Amino acid sequence: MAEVATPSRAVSAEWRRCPSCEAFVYHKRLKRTLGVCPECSHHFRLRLSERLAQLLDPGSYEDRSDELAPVDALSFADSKPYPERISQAQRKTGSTSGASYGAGTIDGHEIVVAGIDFDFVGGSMGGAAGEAITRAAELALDSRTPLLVISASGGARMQEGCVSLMQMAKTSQAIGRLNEEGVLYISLLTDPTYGGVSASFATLGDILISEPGAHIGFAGPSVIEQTIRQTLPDGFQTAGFLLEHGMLDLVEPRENLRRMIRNLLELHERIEAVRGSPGETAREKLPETSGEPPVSDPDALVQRDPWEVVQRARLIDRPRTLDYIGMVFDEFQELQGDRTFKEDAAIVAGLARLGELTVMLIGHQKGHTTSELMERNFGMPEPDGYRKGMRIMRYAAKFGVPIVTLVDTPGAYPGLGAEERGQSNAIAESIMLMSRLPVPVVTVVTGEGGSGGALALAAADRVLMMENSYYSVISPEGCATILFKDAAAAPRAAAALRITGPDLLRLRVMDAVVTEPEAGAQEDPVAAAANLKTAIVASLHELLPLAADELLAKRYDRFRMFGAPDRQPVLPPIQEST
Amino acid sequence: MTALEEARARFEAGEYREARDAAVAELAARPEDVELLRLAGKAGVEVGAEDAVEQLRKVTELRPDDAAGWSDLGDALATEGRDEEAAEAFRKTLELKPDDELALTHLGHAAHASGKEGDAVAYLSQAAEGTAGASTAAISLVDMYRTLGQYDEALAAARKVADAEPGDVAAALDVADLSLTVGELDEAAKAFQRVRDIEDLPDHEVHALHGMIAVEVQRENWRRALDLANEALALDRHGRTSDVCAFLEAQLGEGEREEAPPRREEIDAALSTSQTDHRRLHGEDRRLEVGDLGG
Repeated sequence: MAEVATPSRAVSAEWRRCPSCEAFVYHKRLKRTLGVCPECSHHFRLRLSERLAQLLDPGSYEDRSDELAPVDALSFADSKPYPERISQAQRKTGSTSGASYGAGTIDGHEIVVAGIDFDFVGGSMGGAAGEAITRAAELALDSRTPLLVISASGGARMQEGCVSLMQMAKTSQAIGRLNEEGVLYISLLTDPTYGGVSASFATLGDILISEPGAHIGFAGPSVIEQTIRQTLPDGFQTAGFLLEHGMLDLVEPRENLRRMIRNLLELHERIEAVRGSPGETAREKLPETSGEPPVSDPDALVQRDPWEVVQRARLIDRPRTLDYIGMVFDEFQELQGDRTFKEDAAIVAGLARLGELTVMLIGHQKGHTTSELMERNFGMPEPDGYRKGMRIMRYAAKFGVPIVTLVDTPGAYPGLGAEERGQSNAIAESIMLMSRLPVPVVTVVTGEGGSGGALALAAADRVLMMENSYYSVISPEGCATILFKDAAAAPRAAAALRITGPDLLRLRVMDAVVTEPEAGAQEDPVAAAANLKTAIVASLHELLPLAADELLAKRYDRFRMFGAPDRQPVLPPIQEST
Repeated sequence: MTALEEARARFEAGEYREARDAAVAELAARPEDVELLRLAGKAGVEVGAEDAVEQLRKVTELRPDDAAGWSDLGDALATEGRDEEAAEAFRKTLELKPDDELALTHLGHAAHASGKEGDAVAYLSQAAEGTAGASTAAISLVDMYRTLGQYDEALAAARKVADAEPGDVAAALDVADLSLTVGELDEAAKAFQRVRDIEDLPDHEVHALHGMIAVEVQRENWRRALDLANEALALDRHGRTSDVCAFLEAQLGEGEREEAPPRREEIDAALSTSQTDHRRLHGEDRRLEVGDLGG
């Protein structure tokens, strides 16, 4: 940050009082804990220079913001002339503009950084702050280097009037260019981030990160309370509140931030390493595997009673998506939120490392215990879950990341809120988006493949299923009730619907079946995961060399054939096939 | 330059890692050199070295009558959150040097943490007496007296800090708020005006105006209060001042309202909350220097 003459500091205090728990904390202890209260974990506000020192490698930051300074374009005065307020802020902070941008490294990974210092006129965004953000975005674009922006702001700077308002447009369009060119933008929203900053560049990141307790919003809580004449709930506009409402990817304690950002940079460096290269380059990044290869010959599979398969698919101790992620992938960074309404835990998504290749993982998540099942809504997504999935798919498409989806759902959630927020449309949009993604997509049904709720994550280039999974237009119980007028006829319906691996291979709904241990995946999850990994790697090995238009044409054809009179395979009556 | 001199020069330049490296390297040849151990330990505290406490403890073993050695050890232990051991070290410091400010300040805060407010005040008062200006002990005393409900004493401590640091908003705010609390209305009015003058944020200036309004409300000087409220209204983006204006207009028989105006108790509470919010907003202002929490 550009410095002015000797700053007038606030009073020195070797003991600082925690504004949350009111404990006195020795400053050196507070430094050890990176400014987090050791008594209550309150995250003290940091100055931008402190934040940069915590996140970047020592001595790596090259500040380029020397010439930035606020401009009094309106000759503004309230109770004080604007230049007087600026002088006060400069003396207080030692910074000429209260904003900074430049280049640095995190564990050696290059990054362009920009930030706003809240101590400078409340971090309000005037021309200088907007300029720092915009120049940083332009630098990131020119050098194709990831951008990190650290926000702490009360909003637009009133004293700069519409010039301040225009910073929202200026910064947003600069971020828009990064978005078009596929340059990673990580936004770190710190306490507090409000108004014109939260409503422009701060929430436009590919990844939005915050810290526990940080306050983030558009209008301040007192304005809202005055307007609606209601008391706001505890925790309103905190990072946790925003995460719950789908507005953030991650809320991480301060001690984890540097490591997390470094991991994200590494995952993206692996993406850049194969971007635009021949498919062979990406193939070489795939790991060696030791599992059994998937089976595409239906007669080579054990022919099990379909109802037994349904029962096995529903076993509570069967491995779930997060279990498989831990066993199949070498690293996983979850990303959350639909950026619209809420975080739906029935779908998990994030960047994963498979060997040396970064892929995007999206899957239904059920859980093993009653509490987890309830937290995950038994793996039944609401529209928000599908919208999160779509957001993540677009992310993958933008950066050219192959996608792997794991399907395990009884179906999309049949609820009032789900209908109010457009469950049908969310599923439809997801299917359509997925069918036109310009990147390889591999789907594996690992448990229940319940109808449209499953297909919303399964319009893929390769669709596989685990041996003890099923995929169906309706649950066997539902079919039995509707068509056989007898819920007890579910086993018969299960057979009639042809929902298991062998029949779905013959119908060409499935491309291959991933074998499981004799008693099912729950008997030996590690062996099942090894087979799953082999199947995913084999599918990607086939798909990675294909150009986007070839992928799209083949995917189109894959789903185009179903129901076409001359192409649709027809199964013999059940007696002959079983 | 000897290794000890180099380590000392590096330490004084704030190059703690280099200072520690230089001292530790030389300690291999002179493992019981007190000055090398002291420098290695003190620099180690700054960079989070695991063996800093051990080195400083060794200093106290080699020189048990060295007050500075015990103080350094207490500092290292407090930095690691080993508060009871730190208190022991600082007590030892005071045995050797009864007016050691760091030890008194630490023991004051330790007493506060264990609920011994009387001891806390005694230690911190002694520490504050020994230093001119806005010592950390004086700053903490303001809060502790306030917590104990000893507002006159809190005000006296706050004045000392504010006099030493006239540009410090939090200090001026303490004086203003406490003056109002103890009924020193003239001082409160001046102090809130001072806060207003040195605030750099219009949003915060509203709180200063609320303080000035609270003074005039106590004086029942409704016209002056309304003038100030109208000023506050112009700056207030959060709508906190509307009810205050309505109350004051009602006192003056002005304005037209369909609803009953707010009651005095409600306005007193709102203005008081504004001061609490203002103090909270400045709660994290006081820090050592830019980069202090820089990891």
